[in-house]
Amino acid sequence: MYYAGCDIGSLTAKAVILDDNGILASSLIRVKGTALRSASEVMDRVLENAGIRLDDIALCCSTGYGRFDIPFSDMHLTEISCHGIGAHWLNDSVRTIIDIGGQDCKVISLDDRGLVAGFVMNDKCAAGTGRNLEILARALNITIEELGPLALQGGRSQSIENTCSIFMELEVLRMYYKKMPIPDIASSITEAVARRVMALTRSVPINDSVCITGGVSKNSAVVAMLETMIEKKFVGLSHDPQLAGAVGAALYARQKSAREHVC
Amino acid sequence: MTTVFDEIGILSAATENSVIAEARKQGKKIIGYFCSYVPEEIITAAGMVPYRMRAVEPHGTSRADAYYSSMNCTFSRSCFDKVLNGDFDFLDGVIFMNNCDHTRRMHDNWRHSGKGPEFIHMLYVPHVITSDGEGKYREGLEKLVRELEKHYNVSITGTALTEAIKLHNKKRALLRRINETRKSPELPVKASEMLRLMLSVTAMPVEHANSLLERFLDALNGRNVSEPGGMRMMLAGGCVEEPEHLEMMESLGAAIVADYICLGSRYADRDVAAEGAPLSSITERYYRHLSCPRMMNDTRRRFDYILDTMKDYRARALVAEKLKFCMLFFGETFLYKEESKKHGYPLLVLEREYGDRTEGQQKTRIQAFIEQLRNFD
Amino acid sequence: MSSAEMYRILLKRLKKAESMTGKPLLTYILLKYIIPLVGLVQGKGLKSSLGKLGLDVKTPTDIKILSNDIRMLIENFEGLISSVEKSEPIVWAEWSVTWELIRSFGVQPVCPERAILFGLGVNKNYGIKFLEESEKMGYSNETCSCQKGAIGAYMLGQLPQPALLVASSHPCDSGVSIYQTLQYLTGAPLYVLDTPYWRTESDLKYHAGVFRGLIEFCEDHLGRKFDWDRFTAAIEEMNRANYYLRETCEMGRAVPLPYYIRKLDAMWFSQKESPGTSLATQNAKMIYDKAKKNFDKGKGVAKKEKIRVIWWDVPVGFADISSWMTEQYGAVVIADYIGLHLMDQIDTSSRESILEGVARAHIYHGMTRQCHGPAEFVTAELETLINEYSPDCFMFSRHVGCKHNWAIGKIIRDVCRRTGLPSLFLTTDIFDPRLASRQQIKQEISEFFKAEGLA
Repeated sequence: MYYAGCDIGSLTAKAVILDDNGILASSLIRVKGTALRSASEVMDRVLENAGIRLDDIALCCSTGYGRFDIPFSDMHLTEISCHGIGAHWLNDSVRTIIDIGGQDCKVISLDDRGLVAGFVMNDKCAAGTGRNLEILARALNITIEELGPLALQGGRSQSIENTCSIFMELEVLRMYYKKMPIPDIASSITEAVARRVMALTRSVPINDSVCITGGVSKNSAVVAMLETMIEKKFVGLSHDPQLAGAVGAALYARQKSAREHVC
Repeated sequence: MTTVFDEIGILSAATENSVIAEARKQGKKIIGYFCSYVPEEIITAAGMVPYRMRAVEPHGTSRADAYYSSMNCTFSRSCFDKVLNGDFDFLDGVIFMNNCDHTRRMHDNWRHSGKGPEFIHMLYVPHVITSDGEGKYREGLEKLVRELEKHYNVSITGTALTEAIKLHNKKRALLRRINETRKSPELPVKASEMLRLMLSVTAMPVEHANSLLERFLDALNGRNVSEPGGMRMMLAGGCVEEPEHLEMMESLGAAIVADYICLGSRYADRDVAAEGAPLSSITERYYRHLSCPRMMNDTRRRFDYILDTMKDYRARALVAEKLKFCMLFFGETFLYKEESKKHGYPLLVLEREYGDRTEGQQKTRIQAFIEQLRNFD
Repeated sequence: MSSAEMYRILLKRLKKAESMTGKPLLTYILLKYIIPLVGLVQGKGLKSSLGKLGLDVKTPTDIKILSNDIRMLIENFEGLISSVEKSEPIVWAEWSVTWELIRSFGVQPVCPERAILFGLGVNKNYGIKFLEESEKMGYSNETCSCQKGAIGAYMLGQLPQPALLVASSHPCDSGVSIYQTLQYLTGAPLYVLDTPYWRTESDLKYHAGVFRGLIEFCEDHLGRKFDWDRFTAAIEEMNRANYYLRETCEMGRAVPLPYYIRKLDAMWFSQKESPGTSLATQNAKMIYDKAKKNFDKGKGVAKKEKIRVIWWDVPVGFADISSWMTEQYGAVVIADYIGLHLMDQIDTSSRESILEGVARAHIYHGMTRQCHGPAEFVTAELETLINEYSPDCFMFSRHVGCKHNWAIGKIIRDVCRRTGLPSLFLTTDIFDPRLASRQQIKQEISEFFKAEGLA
């Protein structure tokens, strides 16, 4: 039996196929114009990777912002629950998840079963999200992928004081015009974004075993900065942390199927 | 066949509903008012129709933004935008009170805009519940009566006030009976329907409202709108005025069975005493009814109301809402967090803007909260 | 942070500053001649600290005023620390509540909203920790930093446990909300000085009754008698200071401007926290004498006055910007919300008249006066200033916490337009540099002056 999880975020769409033994295939693409197009395309790819057809999928669960708009999904669950289920399955010691996606950031605490015990999300303000990093990187004429390695080379960073993403951009531009070395500005950017994320971590207690998921988990500088701030090392996951939501969705579909069979 | 539920759907969606339009045709004056401290009885006794101000059929906030700013609440801005658009031109007068910084400034902005009507009154309500404060509030009501009488050349007699009290008590009693039905495990009415009902009955003559409420109550007999797995919740907040917002919550599995909102159970909290001098009885009821967070020395009573109501209505959790930039409900929801820790009830605090401009995030929060509650089943 | 550490740190510094300013002439010579000559780093630091304290130290009189201000703060801090150490009751009094009323019970007051200013006075990060602590509890960017600072300071042990809380209901929702929160968190009984919306005689009578209630409330909860003699003496002393302050403000009509607004701003604090003290009166008189001398000679406080500014709202945390404006652009601030003292003399002939006077003073206290009622209370004062004080422009800080101010932008703008006064509307938090930094504010002001052809 095959189960699919489809996570349609604001910047990327992810899909995972599970069988009874584990992850069979996964796929990640940049989002398209609509949630439906993104979902169709990412599913096509993951099916191709797995070498199966859509009809072979027993159950599909969607998650992410586009979760309501996917006709081939049988159920939907929030990305909060899915990241919980997924991250816990990928490392069962995980009790706190910092999930930094394209347009939002969440801190999720889990119980020992991997179920959500509490969560906090950023408000509609973009500060502390992937989009925030992308905009600030663009202000420096670099890509988001270049930002992390550059920031790690940066020296002692000058703090970006503003907490609003628009004013943060102005402050970055001011640093740029003052001819501050780009690695130093990059370091300031990652520090500022990490600080915004930290503001959320204050509302949900950070437990011992913390992992990071979502697209920003790929940014080594933000990860390092957050580790310094929470004074803990993130625990690793056995699969790409950006796919944790899709993994969780697929697992939920598998659990649901098992439960229905038992019933 | 049109049901009473269809009827409230139509009535609540309109700024000037058909009943109000008909009342105007018959020569009735329509008086807009803000907040729960303005007694409808006084307006009714003056032979006019009390109309609770609202922002249904919003046009956005762009016109109002020229007066207000991005730091002000979207309900006030949406409502004032409608003022500037002429949506409230049918009103013959407006009564404000010094409830919050955003609405009290609408009293200023409205006058400054030069948009009618001529009668724009500010009722001062103390921020504390004390015996001196009650005297001061009564003084404000007396002034309101005098000014209405003078401006409209009417007489607000004791007999008319007593009659108005009877009618409005009946309205409150009917609303309480309707609310009581929500205690049942088989929910006969949805919160979104209740809000539509409230929007309807606060924008029509009280006699018409009472007949609508009687028909509504009858229609609940044997009705069951419970959804399988619906999560019984209580809703707290000030300005929750969009039925669509509650429908969104319901679509995600929320069964809102009780509330502490301005257009909800607070409105029907208790009766005006039938005996005694009518204005004194009105003063007592409106001054001492279940308060809003603007009342600084009544915090504990409000929290106890929530605890008791959650218990009575078997609500599993509290969803507390505040509009962005509303400091009064900011403080209140902040303290709900402390209360929820102390009393062990699950709590979701939602900050949003009038008209649900951040619906995607709200959906995620609500759905995740329900998923979290189900984890404990 | 150890308990009330902030006050101890500042007390130590204040004592050091007092020893430096104790001999005004000597300090003057040091600041004016020695420091620029030898470039003493510590001396430069002192000058900058004094500047940030809100006083331009340009003459021996300025130093004497500063010395008195320091003494008043020292006395308050010592009183506070002593009360903490002796477990004496402490009353938290909201920013608009006169301390002398509380002191007349022999009890030390403390102003919770001042905690952020003192925290930032220790150092920027220290103050920001207060804000971050409240943000950790859920307070957001758009909530008032004075209130957030109070919550954060209390949670971090920097505001001592209160025996009672005294709050006012106007001018803002932030105050209405925060004192309920503080009551919940501290468990202390709260008395609300319910502030009327209007200013009729009946409103003032009601408000006087509210003050009578406060005295009864304190007597009940503190188990102490109110010392009417002490209070009456203090009111008489306050009257003297208020006379000088009001007279000084009257001289603001003169061109060039004969006073520094920052000294009048500082008096807003001392008239609240050290009212009825001879030091406060001495300062008021010195400010008056100096302004009068300038006025009589037709002399201004700026070397060359070029721009006269009405700076609305309260530029407290960034008060030194007005000195920068003067140095950089010859711009002088004629008035702001708090520096314009319009207090009537309080009739001390009977207890009733005192309470009525105190009630009136509370409503006419800078910031409450403009903001507790309809927009006309803001615009009437603004129009008087425009018509009589010859301003060249208007600036509005727009502190994020003051939602009522944000809500009347057009009304104020229209007054400026009608009178042809160029206006600048800033977005600031008067204590939180994270929202708009000193640098950003200066830049906006510079651009405004240039764009309007004022500089």
